[in-house]
Amino acid sequence: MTTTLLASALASIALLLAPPPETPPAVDAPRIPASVFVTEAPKDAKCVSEVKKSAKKGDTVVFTATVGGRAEPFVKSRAILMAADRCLKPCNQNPEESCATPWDYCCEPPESKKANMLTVQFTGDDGKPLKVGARSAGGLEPLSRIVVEGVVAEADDKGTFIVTARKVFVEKPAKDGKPGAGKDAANDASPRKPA
Amino acid sequence: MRLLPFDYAIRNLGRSPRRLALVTGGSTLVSLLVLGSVAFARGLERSLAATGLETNALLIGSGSEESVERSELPASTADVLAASVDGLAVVAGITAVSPEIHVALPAVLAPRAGAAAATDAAPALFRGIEPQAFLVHPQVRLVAGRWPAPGADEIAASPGAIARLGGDASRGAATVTGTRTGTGTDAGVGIGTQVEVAGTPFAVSGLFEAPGTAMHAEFWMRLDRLAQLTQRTTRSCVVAALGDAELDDIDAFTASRLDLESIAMRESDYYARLGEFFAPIRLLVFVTAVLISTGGALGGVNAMYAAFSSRVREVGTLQALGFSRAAIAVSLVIESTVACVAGSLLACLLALAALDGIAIDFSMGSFGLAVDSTAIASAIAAGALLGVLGAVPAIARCLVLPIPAALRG
Repeated sequence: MTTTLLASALASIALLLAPPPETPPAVDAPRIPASVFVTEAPKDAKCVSEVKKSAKKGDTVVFTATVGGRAEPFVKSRAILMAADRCLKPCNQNPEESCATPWDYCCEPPESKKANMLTVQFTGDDGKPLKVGARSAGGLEPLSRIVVEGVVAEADDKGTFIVTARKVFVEKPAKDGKPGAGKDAANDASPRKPA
Repeated sequence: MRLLPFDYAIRNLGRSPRRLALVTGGSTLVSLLVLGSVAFARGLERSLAATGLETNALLIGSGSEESVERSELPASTADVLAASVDGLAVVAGITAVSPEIHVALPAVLAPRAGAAAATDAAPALFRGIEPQAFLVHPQVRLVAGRWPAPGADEIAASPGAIARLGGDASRGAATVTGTRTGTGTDAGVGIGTQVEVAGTPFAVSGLFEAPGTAMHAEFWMRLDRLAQLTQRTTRSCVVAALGDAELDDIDAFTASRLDLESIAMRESDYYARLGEFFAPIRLLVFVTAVLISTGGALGGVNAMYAAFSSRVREVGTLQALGFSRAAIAVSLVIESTVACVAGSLLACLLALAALDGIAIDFSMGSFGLAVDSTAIASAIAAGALLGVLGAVPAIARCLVLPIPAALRG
């Protein structure tokens, strides 16, 4: 009897002290498919302002852009990001500006930002944005230079322009740290004047 | 180590009532100043924390993250948001999305017939609202009268706002000595009182409260009337009760509606950020309190030094009787600390009676000094510290002498 009680007590203590079983990663946790991020830039890329002027809802578009548009261009838990035309200069390229978040383009006038910016989203099977942040996925960071192929999900004359990305090419930053000077900047449409 | 009896230290306190009063008074002053500065910081923090709800999302203009008063959003933002984001709280069929204008305007009680108009119109914070505001600001409740009617030149006033006009609010009808006639009082800010807002007379239609929040010092009026008065077509912000939606849904909305040029954050985060903005002011208040209290502390230390120095012979006798210097030092520290902590307790009583809840105006409205447990603990800690550190010079003076020299006095 005593032995049984002792064994039970020891077993209980062992259970209490044992580390919890490792939780297997959720199988259906949303993530942006790796296949979206391609190693070669989609061809015939245009600039954002050009695409916004000509494309309609449902059109397939290819454009070059820089990730940015506000202090936090990525939505935290939604696969949505903001991107700007490369003709817009981030504030760090303006020697007279000192800005902690140059990718917010705060030195650009609002009208210029509106005409030269769009929203990129990665959707799931339900057509809604994936419930996961896009930051760091495939190397996406603020001021990353990207070439995107996708379908226009929403466009209006007020400035809204949402593209559902199918292929995203993220240019590798040059060794000197300057974005976009590295591999495959061939499709770069800059420099031009902002629309 | 053989310590001196505790009551020896206590009884010594009564040997020189004048010096005891000086030490206790100095400690009271120091503690009161420390307590006041902590109550200031705590009151501001509490007010901002209570104003912003974690369950609310705040949409403001991009680039105006630090000041809703500078923010501008298109007038259609609230409707677009309510139609675009699923899961927002719905109360009685109405989506809890409140467009608001926040603006500081000069306000003064309208002069009575024959009386001279007031020349100084102090700025007061006005919030333009629609009925949905009550769905997102549950801290607010009407205590008298009614909310401003659409199209009418009417405002609702809070006690803090009335105080800014020089009045004193109480439920039903607030009273202001010698000003206007209100409901039920001969001279008071109450229902029907005329207030000149940026030169335009408005009648007070209701009194509301939002205790402990910045809204407790605001005037509220209909959104369209305030927009008309300030000649603006934009809104300052949109407050939305999240309900089943997540903040990320609203952030996604702001990232996709580039035309609105807005950003989303939790309302609580906005006010927390505002608290950080006021951190230098809190520091300034604390530094000022420390500088002023240095005078009181030096007075107390000086009195203590004089009191102990006159007891050099007594200290020598205690050493001759066999008490160690450490035991005597402990006794003197106890004596000094008890006197100083008594001063701190007196300061706490004074603060609870005279400081607690006093309204302090600031740009976002007003907040009450909060004499809470933290403030009281800070005051007592300051007193105890003063007691310990203040005794050190006197102890050094008493114990540094050899016993024969001390006995000769």
